[in-house]
Amino acid sequence: MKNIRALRDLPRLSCVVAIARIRIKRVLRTGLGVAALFIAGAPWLLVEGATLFARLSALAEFSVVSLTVLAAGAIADDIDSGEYAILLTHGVSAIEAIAGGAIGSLALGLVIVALQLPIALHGVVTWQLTPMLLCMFWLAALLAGWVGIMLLFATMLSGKANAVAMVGLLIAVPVGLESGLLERFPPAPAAVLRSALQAIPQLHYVNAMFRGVIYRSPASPLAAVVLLTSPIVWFTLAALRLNRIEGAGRLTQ
Amino acid sequence: MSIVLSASRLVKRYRAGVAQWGASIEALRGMDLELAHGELLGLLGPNGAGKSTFLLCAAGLLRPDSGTLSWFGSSRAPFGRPPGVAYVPERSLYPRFLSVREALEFYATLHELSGTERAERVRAALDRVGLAEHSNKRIAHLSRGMVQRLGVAQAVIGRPRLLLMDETLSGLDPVGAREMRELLRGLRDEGVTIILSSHDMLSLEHLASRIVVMKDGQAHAAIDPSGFTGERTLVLTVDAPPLAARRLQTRRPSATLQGDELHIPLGSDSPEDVLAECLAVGVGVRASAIRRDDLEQRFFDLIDRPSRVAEPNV
Repeated sequence: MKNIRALRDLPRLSCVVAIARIRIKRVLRTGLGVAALFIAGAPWLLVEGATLFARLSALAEFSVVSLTVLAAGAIADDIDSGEYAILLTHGVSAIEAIAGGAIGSLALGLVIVALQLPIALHGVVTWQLTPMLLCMFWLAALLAGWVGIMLLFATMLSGKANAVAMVGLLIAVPVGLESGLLERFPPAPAAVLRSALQAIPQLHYVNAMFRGVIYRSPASPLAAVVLLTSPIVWFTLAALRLNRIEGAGRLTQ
Repeated sequence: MSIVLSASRLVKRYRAGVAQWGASIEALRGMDLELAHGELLGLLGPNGAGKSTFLLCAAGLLRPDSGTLSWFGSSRAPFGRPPGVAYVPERSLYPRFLSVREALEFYATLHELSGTERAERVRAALDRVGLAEHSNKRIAHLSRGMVQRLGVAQAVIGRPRLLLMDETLSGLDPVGAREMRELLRGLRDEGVTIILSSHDMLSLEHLASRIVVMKDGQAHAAIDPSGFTGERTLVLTVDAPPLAARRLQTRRPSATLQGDELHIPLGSDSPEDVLAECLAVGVGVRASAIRRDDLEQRFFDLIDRPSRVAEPNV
Protein backbone atom coordinates (compact mmCIF):
# COMPACT_ATOMS: atom_id res chain seq x y z
CA MET A 1 0.00 0.00 0.00
CA LYS A 2 2.83 2.39 0.90
CA ASN A 3 4.33 1.69 -2.50
CA ILE A 4 1.08 2.50 -4.27
CA ARG A 5 0.60 5.67 -2.19
CA ALA A 6 4.04 6.83 -3.30
CA LEU A 7 2.78 6.88 -6.90
CA ARG A 8 -0.22 9.04 -6.07
CA ASP A 9 1.50 12.35 -6.76
CA LEU A 10 1.03 13.46 -10.33
CA PRO A 11 4.21 13.50 -12.37
CA ARG A 12 5.55 16.95 -13.20
CA LEU A 13 5.16 17.55 -16.91
CA SER A 14 8.38 19.55 -17.28
CA CYS A 15 10.41 16.67 -15.77
CA VAL A 16 8.69 14.05 -17.90
CA VAL A 17 9.31 16.05 -21.08
CA ALA A 18 12.94 16.71 -20.13
CA ILE A 19 13.57 12.99 -19.54
CA ALA A 20 11.80 12.09 -22.78
CA ARG A 21 13.99 14.55 -24.70
CA ILE A 22 17.11 12.98 -23.21
CA ARG A 23 15.95 9.53 -24.35
CA ILE A 24 15.44 10.79 -27.90
CA LYS A 25 18.84 12.51 -27.88
CA ARG A 26 20.44 9.26 -26.70
CA VAL A 27 19.06 7.43 -29.70
CA LEU A 28 19.96 10.16 -32.16
CA ARG A 29 23.52 10.50 -30.89
CA THR A 30 24.55 6.93 -30.18
CA GLY A 31 24.05 5.18 -33.53
CA LEU A 32 21.00 3.23 -32.38
CA GLY A 33 18.89 5.38 -34.67
CA VAL A 34 20.76 4.18 -37.74
CA ALA A 35 20.09 0.53 -36.88
CA ALA A 36 16.42 1.24 -36.25
CA LEU A 37 16.10 3.24 -39.47
CA PHE A 38 17.57 0.33 -41.39
CA ILE A 39 15.02 -2.07 -39.91
CA ALA A 40 12.18 0.40 -40.34
CA GLY A 41 13.12 0.88 -44.00
CA ALA A 42 13.05 -2.83 -44.81
CA PRO A 43 9.31 -3.00 -45.60
CA TRP A 44 9.93 -0.59 -48.49
CA LEU A 45 11.83 -3.40 -50.18
CA LEU A 46 9.84 -6.38 -48.99
CA VAL A 47 6.16 -5.67 -49.34
CA GLU A 48 5.89 -3.95 -52.69
CA GLY A 49 2.71 -5.11 -54.38
CA ALA A 50 1.38 -7.00 -51.34
CA THR A 51 -2.18 -6.67 -50.06
CA LEU A 52 -3.10 -3.85 -47.69
CA PHE A 53 -3.37 -6.28 -44.80
CA ALA A 54 0.07 -7.74 -45.55
CA ARG A 55 1.59 -4.26 -45.73
CA LEU A 56 0.02 -3.20 -42.43
CA SER A 57 1.08 -6.45 -40.83
CA ALA A 58 4.65 -5.86 -42.00
CA LEU A 59 4.47 -2.27 -40.75
CA ALA A 60 3.49 -3.52 -37.29
CA GLU A 61 6.16 -6.21 -37.24
CA PHE A 62 9.01 -3.96 -38.34
CA SER A 63 7.84 -1.19 -36.02
CA VAL A 64 7.94 -3.48 -32.99
CA VAL A 65 11.36 -4.83 -33.94
CA SER A 66 12.75 -1.32 -34.60
CA LEU A 67 11.37 -0.05 -31.32
CA THR A 68 12.93 -3.00 -29.49
CA VAL A 69 16.31 -2.21 -31.08
CA LEU A 70 15.95 1.47 -30.24
CA ALA A 71 14.64 1.34 -26.74
CA ALA A 72 15.04 -2.00 -24.94
CA GLY A 73 18.73 -1.65 -24.16
CA ALA A 74 18.65 2.12 -23.70
CA ILE A 75 15.73 2.04 -21.28
CA ALA A 76 17.53 -0.46 -19.07
CA ASP A 77 20.82 1.44 -19.44
CA ASP A 78 19.13 4.53 -18.03
CA ILE A 79 18.57 2.66 -14.78
CA ASP A 80 21.69 0.53 -14.92
CA SER A 81 24.31 3.16 -15.59
CA GLY A 82 23.52 5.20 -12.48
CA GLU A 83 21.93 8.06 -14.41
CA TYR A 84 18.66 7.17 -12.72
CA ALA A 85 20.31 7.54 -9.30
CA ILE A 86 21.40 11.07 -10.17
CA LEU A 87 17.90 11.90 -11.38
CA LEU A 88 16.56 10.82 -8.00
CA THR A 89 18.92 13.20 -6.22
CA HIS A 90 17.35 15.98 -8.30
CA GLY A 91 13.91 15.13 -6.96
CA VAL A 92 12.66 13.00 -9.86
CA SER A 93 10.17 10.31 -8.85
CA ALA A 94 10.00 6.79 -10.24
CA ILE A 95 6.78 7.54 -12.10
CA GLU A 96 8.34 10.62 -13.71
CA ALA A 97 11.33 8.59 -14.83
CA ILE A 98 9.07 5.86 -16.22
CA ALA A 99 6.73 8.32 -17.90
CA GLY A 100 9.64 10.24 -19.44
CA GLY A 101 11.19 7.02 -20.73
CA ALA A 102 7.87 5.83 -22.08
CA ILE A 103 7.00 9.07 -23.86
CA GLY A 104 10.46 9.32 -25.39
CA SER A 105 10.26 5.74 -26.62
CA LEU A 106 6.77 6.19 -28.00
CA ALA A 107 7.79 9.34 -29.83
CA LEU A 108 10.53 7.30 -31.48
CA GLY A 109 7.97 4.59 -32.23
CA LEU A 110 5.77 7.13 -33.97
CA VAL A 111 8.70 8.28 -36.09
CA ILE A 112 9.32 4.66 -37.09
CA VAL A 113 5.67 4.21 -38.04
CA ALA A 114 5.65 7.51 -39.95
CA LEU A 115 8.68 6.39 -41.96
CA GLN A 116 6.82 3.29 -43.06
CA LEU A 117 3.41 4.79 -43.60
CA PRO A 118 3.87 5.79 -47.25
CA ILE A 119 4.47 2.18 -48.28
CA ALA A 120 1.76 0.86 -45.96
CA LEU A 121 -0.80 3.32 -47.31
CA HIS A 122 0.24 3.07 -50.94
CA GLY A 123 -2.92 2.82 -53.04
CA VAL A 124 -5.29 3.56 -50.18
CA VAL A 125 -8.28 5.58 -51.40
CA THR A 126 -10.03 8.33 -49.49
CA TRP A 127 -12.93 6.22 -48.25
CA GLN A 128 -10.45 3.87 -46.54
CA LEU A 129 -8.93 6.59 -44.36
CA THR A 130 -11.14 6.01 -41.32
CA PRO A 131 -10.30 2.28 -41.15
CA MET A 132 -6.65 3.25 -41.67
CA LEU A 133 -6.76 5.59 -38.69
CA LEU A 134 -8.36 2.81 -36.66
CA CYS A 135 -5.53 0.48 -37.68
CA MET A 136 -2.98 3.10 -36.61
CA PHE A 137 -4.76 3.37 -33.27
CA TRP A 138 -4.38 -0.38 -32.69
CA LEU A 139 -0.75 -0.21 -33.77
CA ALA A 140 -0.12 2.66 -31.32
CA ALA A 141 -1.75 0.60 -28.55
CA LEU A 142 0.52 -2.34 -29.39
CA LEU A 143 3.65 -0.14 -29.32
CA ALA A 144 2.62 1.50 -26.03
CA GLY A 145 2.02 -1.89 -24.41
CA TRP A 146 5.32 -3.16 -25.77
CA VAL A 147 7.15 -0.14 -24.31
CA GLY A 148 5.41 -0.82 -20.98
CA ILE A 149 6.79 -4.37 -20.92
CA MET A 150 10.25 -3.11 -21.89
CA LEU A 151 10.13 -0.67 -18.98
CA LEU A 152 9.07 -3.38 -16.54
CA PHE A 153 11.82 -5.72 -17.70
CA ALA A 154 14.31 -2.84 -17.54
CA THR A 155 13.72 -2.57 -13.79
CA MET A 156 14.98 -6.15 -13.45
CA LEU A 157 17.56 -6.61 -16.20
CA SER A 158 20.67 -4.83 -17.39
CA GLY A 159 20.72 -3.06 -20.76
CA LYS A 160 21.92 -5.89 -22.97
CA ALA A 161 19.93 -8.52 -21.08
CA ASN A 162 16.78 -6.45 -21.56
CA ALA A 163 17.32 -6.22 -25.30
CA VAL A 164 17.88 -9.99 -25.51
CA ALA A 165 14.84 -10.68 -23.32
CA MET A 166 12.56 -8.51 -25.46
CA VAL A 167 13.70 -10.20 -28.68
CA GLY A 168 13.19 -13.55 -26.91
CA LEU A 169 9.70 -12.47 -25.89
CA LEU A 170 8.89 -11.46 -29.43
CA ILE A 171 9.68 -15.01 -30.55
CA ALA A 172 8.54 -16.95 -27.48
CA VAL A 173 4.97 -15.69 -27.23
CA PRO A 174 3.72 -16.95 -30.60
CA VAL A 175 5.72 -20.16 -30.18
CA GLY A 176 4.21 -20.71 -26.73
CA LEU A 177 0.67 -19.99 -27.82
CA GLU A 178 0.53 -21.49 -31.27
CA SER A 179 2.94 -24.43 -31.37
CA GLY A 180 0.93 -26.73 -29.13
CA LEU A 181 3.73 -26.64 -26.57
CA LEU A 182 1.34 -25.82 -23.76
CA GLU A 183 -0.75 -28.94 -24.51
CA ARG A 184 2.12 -31.02 -23.13
CA PHE A 185 1.83 -29.35 -19.70
CA PRO A 186 -0.63 -30.43 -16.98
CA PRO A 187 -3.92 -28.48 -17.32
CA ALA A 188 -3.46 -26.08 -14.38
CA PRO A 189 0.07 -24.83 -15.15
CA ALA A 190 -0.83 -24.74 -18.86
CA ALA A 191 -3.81 -22.48 -18.11
CA VAL A 192 -1.67 -20.14 -16.00
CA LEU A 193 1.04 -20.00 -18.66
CA ARG A 194 -1.48 -19.42 -21.42
CA SER A 195 -3.10 -16.56 -19.48
CA ALA A 196 0.30 -14.99 -18.83
CA LEU A 197 1.29 -15.22 -22.49
CA GLN A 198 -2.09 -13.89 -23.60
CA ALA A 199 -1.69 -10.83 -21.37
CA ILE A 200 1.34 -9.74 -23.41
CA PRO A 201 0.52 -7.38 -26.27
CA GLN A 202 1.59 -9.14 -29.45
CA LEU A 203 1.63 -8.86 -33.21
CA HIS A 204 -0.93 -11.64 -33.47
CA TYR A 205 -3.47 -9.37 -31.70
CA VAL A 206 -2.84 -6.32 -33.80
CA ASN A 207 -3.12 -8.44 -36.94
CA ALA A 208 -6.48 -9.71 -35.70
CA MET A 209 -7.63 -6.10 -35.23
CA PHE A 210 -6.32 -5.13 -38.69
CA ARG A 211 -8.23 -8.05 -40.18
CA GLY A 212 -11.37 -6.98 -38.33
CA VAL A 213 -11.08 -3.42 -39.63
CA ILE A 214 -10.09 -4.19 -43.24
CA TYR A 215 -12.24 -7.26 -43.91
CA ARG A 216 -14.97 -6.33 -41.39
CA SER A 217 -14.58 -9.74 -39.79
CA PRO A 218 -15.62 -10.17 -36.11
CA ALA A 219 -12.98 -8.57 -33.87
CA SER A 220 -11.24 -10.61 -31.20
CA PRO A 221 -12.42 -9.38 -27.76
CA LEU A 222 -9.25 -10.74 -26.11
CA ALA A 223 -7.01 -8.89 -28.56
CA ALA A 224 -8.93 -5.63 -28.09
CA VAL A 225 -8.92 -5.88 -24.28
CA VAL A 226 -5.21 -6.71 -24.06
CA LEU A 227 -4.20 -3.99 -26.53
CA LEU A 228 -6.31 -1.38 -24.74
CA THR A 229 -5.36 -2.26 -21.16
CA SER A 230 -1.74 -3.36 -21.48
CA PRO A 231 -0.20 0.13 -21.75
CA ILE A 232 -1.79 1.10 -18.43
CA VAL A 233 -1.16 -2.24 -16.71
CA TRP A 234 2.50 -2.58 -17.74
CA PHE A 235 3.36 1.08 -17.11
CA THR A 236 1.84 0.87 -13.65
CA LEU A 237 3.70 -2.34 -12.84
CA ALA A 238 6.96 -0.80 -14.11
CA ALA A 239 6.45 2.36 -12.03
CA LEU A 240 5.64 0.32 -8.91
CA ARG A 241 8.67 -1.87 -9.43
CA LEU A 242 11.02 1.07 -10.09
CA ASN A 243 9.69 2.85 -7.03
CA ARG A 244 10.42 -0.24 -4.97
CA ILE A 245 14.00 -0.85 -6.04
CA GLU A 246 16.84 1.16 -4.58
CA GLY A 247 18.03 4.10 -6.67
CA ALA A 248 21.64 3.02 -6.48
CA GLY A 249 20.95 -0.70 -6.28
CA ARG A 250 22.63 -1.45 -9.60
CA LEU A 251 25.69 0.70 -8.79
CA THR A 252 26.63 -1.49 -5.88
CA GLN A 253 26.47 -4.83 -7.71
CA MET B 1 23.62 23.87 16.64
CA SER B 2 21.19 22.19 14.24
CA ILE B 3 21.78 18.63 13.13
CA VAL B 4 21.76 18.19 9.38
CA LEU B 5 22.23 14.44 9.22
CA SER B 6 21.88 11.82 11.89
CA ALA B 7 22.62 8.13 11.38
CA SER B 8 22.11 5.63 14.13
CA ARG B 9 23.13 1.96 14.04
CA LEU B 10 22.86 1.77 10.27
CA VAL B 11 23.19 -1.70 8.82
CA LYS B 12 23.30 -2.37 5.10
CA ARG B 13 23.76 -5.76 3.50
CA TYR B 14 24.29 -6.60 -0.16
CA ARG B 15 23.26 -9.90 -1.62
CA ALA B 16 26.36 -11.79 -2.67
CA GLY B 17 25.04 -12.88 -6.08
CA VAL B 18 23.97 -16.06 -7.78
CA ALA B 19 27.28 -17.86 -7.19
CA GLN B 20 26.77 -17.66 -3.42
CA TRP B 21 23.03 -17.98 -3.23
CA GLY B 22 21.57 -16.67 0.03
CA ALA B 23 24.83 -15.18 1.26
CA SER B 24 25.15 -11.46 1.94
CA ILE B 25 27.92 -8.96 2.46
CA GLU B 26 27.52 -6.54 5.37
CA ALA B 27 28.77 -3.17 4.13
CA LEU B 28 27.57 -1.17 7.13
CA ARG B 29 27.61 -2.74 10.57
CA GLY B 30 26.06 -0.22 12.88
CA MET B 31 27.23 3.11 11.52
CA ASP B 32 26.63 6.08 13.83
CA LEU B 33 27.17 9.68 12.78
CA GLU B 34 25.85 13.13 13.56
CA LEU B 35 26.61 16.05 11.34
CA ALA B 36 26.04 19.64 12.41
CA HIS B 37 25.11 22.50 10.11
CA GLY B 38 28.12 24.08 8.35
CA GLU B 39 30.50 21.19 9.00
CA LEU B 40 32.83 19.85 6.36
CA LEU B 41 33.25 16.28 7.46
CA GLY B 42 35.99 14.14 6.00
CA LEU B 43 35.26 10.45 5.64
CA LEU B 44 38.37 8.33 5.61
CA GLY B 45 38.87 4.61 5.56
CA PRO B 46 40.41 1.72 3.67
CA ASN B 47 38.66 0.34 0.58
CA GLY B 48 35.63 -1.69 1.61
CA ALA B 49 35.17 0.22 4.86
CA GLY B 50 31.64 1.22 3.83
CA LYS B 51 32.18 4.90 2.96
CA SER B 52 30.40 4.82 -0.41
CA THR B 53 27.55 2.71 0.97
CA PHE B 54 27.08 5.19 3.79
CA LEU B 55 27.01 8.13 1.38
CA LEU B 56 24.47 6.35 -0.86
CA CYS B 57 22.27 5.71 2.18
CA ALA B 58 22.65 9.34 3.23
CA ALA B 59 21.66 10.41 -0.30
CA GLY B 60 18.51 8.29 -0.05
CA LEU B 61 19.69 6.06 -2.87
CA LEU B 62 20.07 2.93 -0.76
CA ARG B 63 17.74 1.78 1.99
CA PRO B 64 19.45 0.58 5.15
CA ASP B 65 18.38 -2.85 6.38
CA SER B 66 18.13 -1.52 9.91
CA GLY B 67 18.95 1.57 11.91
CA THR B 68 17.64 5.09 11.52
CA LEU B 69 18.62 7.94 9.28
CA SER B 70 17.22 11.46 9.50
CA TRP B 71 17.86 14.64 7.55
CA PHE B 72 17.40 18.14 8.97
CA GLY B 73 15.71 16.68 12.04
CA SER B 74 13.15 14.42 10.41
CA SER B 75 13.17 10.92 8.99
CA ARG B 76 12.29 10.62 5.34
CA ALA B 77 9.00 9.26 4.07
CA PRO B 78 9.16 5.50 3.40
CA PHE B 79 9.54 5.94 -0.35
CA GLY B 80 10.52 9.57 -0.53
CA ARG B 81 14.01 10.94 -0.97
CA PRO B 82 15.50 13.60 1.26
CA PRO B 83 15.07 17.06 -0.20
CA GLY B 84 18.00 19.46 -0.12
CA VAL B 85 20.58 16.68 -0.40
CA ALA B 86 22.89 16.47 -3.40
CA TYR B 87 25.28 13.68 -4.28
CA VAL B 88 28.49 13.73 -6.30
CA PRO B 89 29.37 10.17 -7.38
CA GLU B 90 32.86 8.78 -7.67
CA ARG B 91 32.46 7.95 -11.37
CA SER B 92 30.61 9.54 -14.25
CA LEU B 93 26.89 8.81 -13.98
CA TYR B 94 25.84 11.47 -16.45
CA PRO B 95 24.51 11.08 -20.00
CA ARG B 96 27.75 10.79 -21.96
CA PHE B 97 26.18 11.90 -25.24
CA LEU B 98 25.22 15.33 -23.85
CA SER B 99 27.44 18.38 -23.72
CA VAL B 100 28.32 19.82 -20.31
CA ARG B 101 25.88 22.70 -20.79
CA GLU B 102 23.08 20.43 -22.02
CA ALA B 103 23.52 18.17 -19.01
CA LEU B 104 23.40 21.07 -16.57
CA GLU B 105 20.36 22.54 -18.32
CA PHE B 106 18.70 19.14 -18.06
CA TYR B 107 19.35 18.91 -14.31
CA ALA B 108 18.21 22.50 -13.82
CA THR B 109 14.95 21.69 -15.64
CA LEU B 110 14.28 18.95 -13.11
CA HIS B 111 14.17 21.64 -10.39
CA GLU B 112 11.35 23.41 -12.25
CA LEU B 113 13.17 26.72 -12.56
CA SER B 114 12.02 29.47 -14.83
CA GLY B 115 13.95 29.92 -18.09
CA THR B 116 15.89 32.92 -16.80
CA GLU B 117 16.76 31.36 -13.48
CA ARG B 118 17.73 28.11 -15.15
CA ALA B 119 20.13 29.90 -17.49
CA GLU B 120 21.54 31.90 -14.58
CA ARG B 121 22.14 28.83 -12.44
CA VAL B 122 23.78 26.94 -15.30
CA ARG B 123 26.07 29.89 -15.99
CA ALA B 124 26.90 30.25 -12.29
CA ALA B 125 27.59 26.52 -11.91
CA LEU B 126 29.85 26.50 -14.98
CA ASP B 127 31.80 29.51 -13.71
CA ARG B 128 32.02 28.11 -10.23
CA VAL B 129 33.62 24.82 -11.26
CA GLY B 130 35.71 26.35 -14.06
CA LEU B 131 34.02 24.49 -16.91
CA ALA B 132 32.65 27.52 -18.78
CA GLU B 133 35.16 27.18 -21.60
CA HIS B 134 34.41 23.46 -21.94
CA SER B 135 30.65 23.82 -21.78
CA ASN B 136 30.10 22.63 -25.36
CA LYS B 137 32.24 19.51 -24.96
CA ARG B 138 30.47 16.16 -24.83
CA ILE B 139 30.71 14.49 -21.43
CA ALA B 140 32.22 11.43 -23.13
CA HIS B 141 35.21 13.57 -24.11
CA LEU B 142 35.89 15.07 -20.67
CA SER B 143 38.91 14.16 -18.60
CA ARG B 144 38.34 12.57 -15.20
CA GLY B 145 39.05 15.83 -13.44
CA MET B 146 36.50 17.65 -15.59
CA VAL B 147 33.92 14.98 -14.86
CA GLN B 148 34.51 15.53 -11.15
CA ARG B 149 33.89 19.24 -11.66
CA LEU B 150 30.76 18.48 -13.63
CA GLY B 151 29.66 16.33 -10.70
CA VAL B 152 29.98 19.28 -8.36
CA ALA B 153 28.23 21.57 -10.86
CA GLN B 154 25.20 19.27 -11.20
CA ALA B 155 25.05 18.92 -7.44
CA VAL B 156 25.08 22.64 -6.68
CA ILE B 157 22.56 23.54 -9.37
CA GLY B 158 19.71 22.63 -7.02
CA ARG B 159 21.25 24.73 -4.19
CA PRO B 160 21.53 21.86 -1.71
CA ARG B 161 21.88 22.18 2.04
CA LEU B 162 23.82 18.93 2.35
CA LEU B 163 26.41 17.87 -0.21
CA LEU B 164 27.67 14.28 -0.25
CA MET B 165 30.87 13.78 -2.20
CA ASP B 166 32.34 10.37 -2.95
CA GLU B 167 36.03 10.51 -3.90
CA THR B 168 35.55 13.83 -5.64
CA LEU B 169 39.22 14.75 -5.23
CA SER B 170 40.55 11.63 -6.92
CA GLY B 171 41.90 11.92 -10.42
CA LEU B 172 42.58 15.64 -10.19
CA ASP B 173 45.93 17.13 -11.07
CA PRO B 174 47.58 19.27 -8.34
CA VAL B 175 46.14 22.50 -9.77
CA GLY B 176 42.71 20.94 -10.16
CA ALA B 177 42.85 19.55 -6.63
CA ARG B 178 43.72 22.98 -5.23
CA GLU B 179 40.87 24.58 -7.19
CA MET B 180 38.47 21.93 -5.97
CA ARG B 181 39.57 22.55 -2.37
CA GLU B 182 38.91 26.27 -2.87
CA LEU B 183 35.51 25.43 -4.34
CA LEU B 184 34.61 23.27 -1.35
CA ARG B 185 35.78 25.95 1.09
CA GLY B 186 33.57 28.44 -0.73
CA LEU B 187 30.56 26.16 -0.46
CA ARG B 188 31.23 25.55 3.22
CA ASP B 189 31.51 29.30 3.82
CA GLU B 190 28.11 29.73 2.18
CA GLY B 191 26.61 27.38 4.77
CA VAL B 192 26.49 24.17 2.76
CA THR B 193 27.17 21.17 4.99
CA ILE B 194 29.51 18.73 3.26
CA ILE B 195 30.62 15.15 3.69
CA LEU B 196 33.69 14.43 1.64
CA SER B 197 34.89 10.87 1.29
CA SER B 198 38.49 10.82 0.13
CA HIS B 199 41.81 9.04 0.31
CA ASP B 200 43.58 12.38 -0.17
CA MET B 201 44.70 12.90 3.41
CA LEU B 202 46.48 16.17 2.76
CA SER B 203 43.30 17.71 1.37
CA LEU B 204 41.20 16.32 4.18
CA GLU B 205 43.64 17.65 6.75
CA HIS B 206 43.40 21.12 5.22
CA LEU B 207 39.68 21.14 4.50
CA ALA B 208 37.78 19.14 7.07
CA SER B 209 36.54 20.46 10.38
CA ARG B 210 36.27 16.84 11.56
CA ILE B 211 37.40 13.55 10.12
CA VAL B 212 35.65 10.26 10.77
CA VAL B 213 37.67 7.12 10.14
CA MET B 214 35.51 4.24 8.96
CA LYS B 215 36.56 0.66 9.39
CA ASP B 216 34.56 -2.54 8.89
CA GLY B 217 31.34 -0.66 8.23
CA GLN B 218 31.46 1.48 11.35
CA ALA B 219 32.63 4.89 12.47
CA HIS B 220 35.85 3.74 14.06
CA ALA B 221 37.23 7.04 15.36
CA ALA B 222 36.86 10.78 15.01
CA ILE B 223 39.85 13.04 14.49
CA ASP B 224 40.19 16.78 14.95
CA PRO B 225 42.54 17.79 12.13
CA SER B 226 43.37 21.13 13.74
CA GLY B 227 45.40 19.32 16.44
CA PHE B 228 48.18 18.09 14.16
CA THR B 229 51.57 19.77 14.56
CA GLY B 230 53.32 18.07 11.67
CA GLU B 231 56.38 17.49 13.88
CA ARG B 232 58.62 14.53 13.10
CA THR B 233 59.69 11.95 15.64
CA LEU B 234 62.39 9.35 15.15
CA VAL B 235 61.27 6.00 16.54
CA LEU B 236 64.09 3.59 17.32
CA THR B 237 63.99 -0.08 18.16
CA VAL B 238 67.08 -0.57 20.31
CA ASP B 239 68.98 -3.14 22.37
CA ALA B 240 68.40 -2.84 26.13
CA PRO B 241 65.81 -0.04 25.87
CA PRO B 242 65.96 1.38 29.47
CA LEU B 243 69.76 1.62 29.35
CA ALA B 244 69.69 3.06 25.84
CA ALA B 245 67.14 5.69 26.93
CA ARG B 246 69.31 6.79 29.86
CA ARG B 247 72.39 7.04 27.64
CA LEU B 248 70.66 8.97 24.88
CA GLN B 249 68.94 11.33 27.32
CA THR B 250 72.36 12.62 28.32
CA ARG B 251 72.53 14.19 24.88
CA ARG B 252 68.83 14.37 23.95
CA PRO B 253 66.74 15.11 27.07
CA SER B 254 63.55 15.11 24.98
CA ALA B 255 63.99 11.41 24.11
CA THR B 256 61.36 9.21 25.79
CA LEU B 257 60.94 5.49 26.24
CA GLN B 258 57.52 4.27 25.03
CA GLY B 259 57.24 0.54 25.50
CA ASP B 260 60.36 -0.88 23.95
CA GLU B 261 60.83 2.03 21.57
CA LEU B 262 62.76 5.25 21.91
CA HIS B 263 60.90 8.33 20.64
CA ILE B 264 63.10 11.30 19.77
CA PRO B 265 61.52 14.56 18.53
CA LEU B 266 63.59 15.64 15.53
CA GLY B 267 62.83 19.35 15.40
CA SER B 268 65.10 20.78 12.72
CA ASP B 269 67.68 17.96 13.05
CA SER B 270 68.04 15.20 10.53
CA PRO B 271 67.59 11.52 11.48
CA GLU B 272 71.25 10.96 10.56
CA ASP B 273 72.33 13.45 13.29
CA VAL B 274 70.39 11.50 15.93
CA LEU B 275 71.64 8.14 14.71
CA ALA B 276 75.21 9.43 14.87
CA GLU B 277 74.60 10.47 18.48
CA CYS B 278 73.23 7.01 19.24
CA LEU B 279 76.44 5.47 17.95
CA ALA B 280 78.48 7.95 19.96
CA VAL B 281 76.76 7.03 23.27
CA GLY B 282 76.76 3.28 22.52
CA VAL B 283 73.07 2.76 21.77
CA GLY B 284 72.57 -0.30 19.53
CA VAL B 285 69.87 0.57 17.00
CA ARG B 286 68.09 -2.38 15.41
CA ALA B 287 65.50 -0.47 13.37
CA SER B 288 64.33 3.06 12.87
CA ALA B 289 61.30 4.82 11.50
CA ILE B 290 60.10 8.38 11.24
CA ARG B 291 56.65 9.31 12.52
CA ARG B 292 55.01 12.59 11.71
CA ASP B 293 52.22 14.07 13.78
CA ASP B 294 49.78 14.21 10.88
CA LEU B 295 46.58 12.66 9.63
CA GLU B 296 48.31 9.93 7.68
CA GLN B 297 50.16 8.70 10.77
CA ARG B 298 47.03 8.86 12.91
CA PHE B 299 45.05 7.02 10.26
CA PHE B 300 47.54 4.17 10.03
CA ASP B 301 47.68 3.94 13.80
CA LEU B 302 43.89 3.70 13.92
CA ILE B 303 43.54 0.99 11.33
CA ASP B 304 46.43 -1.00 12.83
CA ARG B 305 48.61 -0.99 9.77
CA PRO B 306 52.23 0.08 9.49
CA SER B 307 52.47 3.61 8.13
CA ARG B 308 55.99 3.44 6.77
CA VAL B 309 58.37 0.64 6.12
CA ALA B 310 60.99 0.52 8.84
CA GLU B 311 64.38 1.59 7.66
CA PRO B 312 67.13 -1.03 7.66
CA ASN B 313 69.50 -1.57 10.55
CA VAL B 314 71.99 1.18 11.12
